[in-house]
Amino acid sequence: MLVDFSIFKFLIELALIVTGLSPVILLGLLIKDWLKGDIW
Amino acid sequence: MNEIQLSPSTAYLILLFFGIGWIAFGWWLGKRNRTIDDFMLAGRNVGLALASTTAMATWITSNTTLVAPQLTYQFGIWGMVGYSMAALGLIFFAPMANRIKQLMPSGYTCGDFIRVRYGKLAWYVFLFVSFFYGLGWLVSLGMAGGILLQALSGLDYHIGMTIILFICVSYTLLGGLKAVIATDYIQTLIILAGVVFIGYVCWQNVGLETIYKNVSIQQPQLLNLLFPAAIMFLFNNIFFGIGEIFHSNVWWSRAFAFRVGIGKRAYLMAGLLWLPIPIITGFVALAANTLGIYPSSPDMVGPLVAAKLLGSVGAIFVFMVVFSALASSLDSLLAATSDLLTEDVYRGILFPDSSQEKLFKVSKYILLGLGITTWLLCLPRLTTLGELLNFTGAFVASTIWPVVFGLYRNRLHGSYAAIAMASGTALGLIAYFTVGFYVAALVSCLVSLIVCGIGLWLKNADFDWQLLKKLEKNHVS
Repeated sequence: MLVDFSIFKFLIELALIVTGLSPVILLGLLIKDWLKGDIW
Repeated sequence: MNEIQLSPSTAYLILLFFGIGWIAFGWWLGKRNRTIDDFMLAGRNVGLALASTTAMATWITSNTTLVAPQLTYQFGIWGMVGYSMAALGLIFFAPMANRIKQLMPSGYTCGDFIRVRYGKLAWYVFLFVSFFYGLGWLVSLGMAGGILLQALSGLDYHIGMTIILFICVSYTLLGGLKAVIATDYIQTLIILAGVVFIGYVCWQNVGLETIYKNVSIQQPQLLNLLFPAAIMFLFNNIFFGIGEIFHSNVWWSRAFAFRVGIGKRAYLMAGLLWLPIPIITGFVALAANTLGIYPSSPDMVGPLVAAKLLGSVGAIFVFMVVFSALASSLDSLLAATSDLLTEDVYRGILFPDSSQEKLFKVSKYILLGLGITTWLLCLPRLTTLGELLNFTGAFVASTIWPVVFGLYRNRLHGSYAAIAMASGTALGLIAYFTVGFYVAALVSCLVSLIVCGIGLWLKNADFDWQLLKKLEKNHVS
């Protein structure tokens, strides 16, 4: 039973979107911590 | 020279640039380290941004970038989904991180916990498992460094491996866990940018429909949802990943280092952001046949596809991504394993009366010694990356239940925890050699669960949780 193309496509595209957003989220968190003086 | 290779001078330039940058950064961060807590645990006050990123970076290893494509190339869709399920280890560890900090606010290592909670027998078994795994992972990473440089720039394996180890040992030695965590942040951004870029180019230039069609015609088993070995790999990898994280001092030391209340959110976020990465690195490997790539060594399928898609720029991208992935894990493992040697072996077994100042000095010598030992073990290229990684699965999966029951139930007795770890490892290894690498962790975890279940049923240890706090307070004073 082969995986359906639509599921395959959804899986890969979702992974690309989440990973693409990750640096933005991490940078945002660092700026927030920095402004609050909470880095270390 | 093949199509994925940089010129040796370009490789040296990249290594020199990153090497000097990270070592200088480590030296600068290390200037404020005054105590063993600063060096081993970054002052125990790490905020959410760095906490999440260091957990994520450490879990993105060379295996995520080299073995995830290899497993997708061999096991297809279950290979990449199975590899991504290793994120469950981070996600399930999230509540445990808060529990660890709450139970042992002044703890140093996972060995501290096992010694106090279960006694010496279980502690010795656990230390054996932990050091075997730690060294296995270190050697796997060191070897990957050598293989990477050789494959991507034609440099001799031994030279590449030595350079990467030298850089990581240097900045970890100079800056301790602070240097590890801060460089992890930069390395994560490099890795994420590189992975997304390569994945996007593959998605845009080759196309999902073309890849799907070609794979379904040429290698339909890779898209088969009922591929038996791949399904076993999926479950094996879940337990392997959980075992790796639950038992390893890499993750425990971070739980101690993060600010109170941060651990749960940091590990949860790290797990959720890590989960899609092996899917992208794996998916790139599925484009291999479409692009006419048939690698002689399957662990090089990812770099080969990237270089084919991006040319010489691709080789530089792959080089930077894999080098960052290697360094982000190698530094963490060096720091956490040397902490375990300092706290559990040097202070715990050999010199119990050592002062904090003495431990601060000794921990640096131990880290240096560990780096040299890893270098010696990496000199012969023993096995492929995937095989070495999975060999340790039998060891680590046996610790899952003793750690979980130890943290949340006061009933499990130390003797049963020791038997669970020893028997789980032994039977997991038998399964590894008689059935295959993809069942070792599964068998080990199951055996360990059965023994713990029997232990919980037959005996009540009635452990006093306060002992964990009291003993650590005594140690600090």
